[in-house]
Amino acid sequence: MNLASQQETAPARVFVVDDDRRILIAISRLLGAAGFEVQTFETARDFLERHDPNIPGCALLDVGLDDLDGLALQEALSANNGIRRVIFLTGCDDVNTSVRAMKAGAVDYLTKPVQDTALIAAVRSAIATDKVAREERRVIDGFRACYERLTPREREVMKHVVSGRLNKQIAFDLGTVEKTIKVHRAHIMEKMQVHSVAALVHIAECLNAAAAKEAR
Amino acid sequence: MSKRPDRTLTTLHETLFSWLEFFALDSDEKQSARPAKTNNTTRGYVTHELMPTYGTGLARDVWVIMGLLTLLTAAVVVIGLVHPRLFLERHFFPGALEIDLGVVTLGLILMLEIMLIFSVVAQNNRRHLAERLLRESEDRMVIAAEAANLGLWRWDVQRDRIWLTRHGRQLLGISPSLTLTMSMLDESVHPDDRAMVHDMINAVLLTKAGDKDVYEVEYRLLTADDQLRWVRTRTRARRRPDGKVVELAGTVLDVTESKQMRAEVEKQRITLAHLSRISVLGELSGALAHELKQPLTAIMSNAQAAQRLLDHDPIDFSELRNAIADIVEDDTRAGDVITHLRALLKNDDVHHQEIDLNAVILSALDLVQSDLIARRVNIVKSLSDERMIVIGDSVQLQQLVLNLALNAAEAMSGEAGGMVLIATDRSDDGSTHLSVSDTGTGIKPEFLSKIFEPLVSTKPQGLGLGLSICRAIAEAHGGSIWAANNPGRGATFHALFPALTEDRK
Repeated sequence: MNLASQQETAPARVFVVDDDRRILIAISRLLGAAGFEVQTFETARDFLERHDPNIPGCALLDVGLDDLDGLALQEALSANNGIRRVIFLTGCDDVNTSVRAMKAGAVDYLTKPVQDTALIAAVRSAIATDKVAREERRVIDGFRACYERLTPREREVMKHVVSGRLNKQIAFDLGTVEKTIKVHRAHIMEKMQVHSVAALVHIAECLNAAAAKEAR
Repeated sequence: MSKRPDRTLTTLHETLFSWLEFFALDSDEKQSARPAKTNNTTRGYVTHELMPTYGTGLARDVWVIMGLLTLLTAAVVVIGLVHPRLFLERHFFPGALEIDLGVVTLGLILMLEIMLIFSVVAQNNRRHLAERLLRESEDRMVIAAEAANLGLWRWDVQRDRIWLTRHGRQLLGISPSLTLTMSMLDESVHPDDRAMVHDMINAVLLTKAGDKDVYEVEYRLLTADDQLRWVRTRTRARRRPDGKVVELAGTVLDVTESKQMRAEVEKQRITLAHLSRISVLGELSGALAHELKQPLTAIMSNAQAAQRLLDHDPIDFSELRNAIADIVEDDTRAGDVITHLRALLKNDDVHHQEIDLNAVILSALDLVQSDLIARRVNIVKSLSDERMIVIGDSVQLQQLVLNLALNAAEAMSGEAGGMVLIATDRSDDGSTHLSVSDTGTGIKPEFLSKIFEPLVSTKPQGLGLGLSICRAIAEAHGGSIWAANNPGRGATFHALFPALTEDRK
């Protein structure tokens, strides 16, 4: 937890992957001059092995990498944990490739040679979305941690509560008495660290959405 | 009475002489040799025969004999009329021997003359027949030569006169009446080819009996109407018994059309090759764009990084210097890409120069050094110690080596410790052999045969141009290129360039 929080607060980093070493140097020099922290990789394999997904920031990938196609690399990243924002840099302005990249969730798609303003804007925007996503994820992780502490019975009761049912209806459905449900409800509110049913409903929705996203 | 035999004889002689002349000189000589004869002393000659006429010489002998006999007759007549009458009649046999001696002497002389005349006539008839047969065979030969579009010629070396058939004159655009000498013909030879023609003539003149006897040479002639014609001449020397060359004879053939046809075919072949290159130009321009975008991207980013670095306080001068140095280097790289591609796309003939293939390989490897290191590929060179001279274009040969080296490196992409072996050696027949081996995955057998075809690639991103360009370059240098899988692993690409010919040594 401590390590993770340290990394969360670490400055954003741009991971540049290009098999042309001269471009790699030039781009990292530009991004460095613009104030970004940069880490470079010459092959996709190297990047997948060495890069730390917990560091906030974004990846700038060359589409035509030799050992692993940039798009395939992006898929590998999505499968990993789906958090890394990806900007593509390509020599060919092929529509099919860009459509595939955008569908796969690339935040931007730039063609070589790239203007610094466009590149920096794309990197900034990617880092911003990354930050938002990481914040969301942190919140969801908090909710999930709370939810983990519920007993199976309490989770069942919670399901009924957030769908707006009354205590006695729940007691009837679960074949118990209203008083028991009241105790469960109190435990749920305490463990989930909320004070109103409305807040509980919000958490439940967030958790459902996150679960749906992960399942996809 | 005494004067009559004289008159009779004179008349008889005149008749006989004109008759003799008729037999002695054949029709050709009467028609054309005579005017030529009048020019004998001034310039050239023309006759229509293949063989020299010996009739003229013989007739001249007859004339001399006739003249002598006439003088003898005149002498006898004078002695008969004057001296015998004074001497014999007066001192020995007055009136008795005059008639006998005069008549007998005259009769004997006349008989001798008549015998001589008949023998000459008979000889003339035989010769005439032989000459007719000769002329007929000669005519057949001329007709055959004309049918074969050949001109026949003969050059009398001593007198410097050239005889050339009518057809030959037509071929060369020379008027039938013009008298030809070697210097006239020499002037019409294209200046660039003159030395070659002279060499050939000298070679023939210096031949000895038993040497190679037919010399053939092709050269250009500028005709009187300023047309350029290609001519092929076959020459043979005719010798005197003592072996001295007195005459050159041979054929002349107008090969302008076949030359033009060959040139046309060659031109079409070049155009075709160019077209096929153009047809992949669309793909090639994509490749060019890609090749240029890499250095351009680096230049752009470095330049803009430099701009941003200038705004920093304090300015990081060392980083700024690095950025600018990289801009310069990448610009050179972009220029090289264009130079190489331009050299390939130009419809120029190959620049034929002597090039050391080993030097080309070293300079090509310099260009790809960083690429190969990035791919973690080791390059091993096994270059022949002697200079590997190839006649050709250094840019194209460099392209060939580059393509093969990069191809080999790409075959091992992702594997650490791959090795590319570049070797040159001289094969048994003297041709220059280049081989590029890798330790990659090798070539699938079904690809081996078509790997040099344009747009055939085994790589997902490949355009299928690299190896087809290699083949085009190898073929433009008269060489060949092929690929084979190694017994162990990987594949080897071979290129073979022809041995230098003698005149190129």
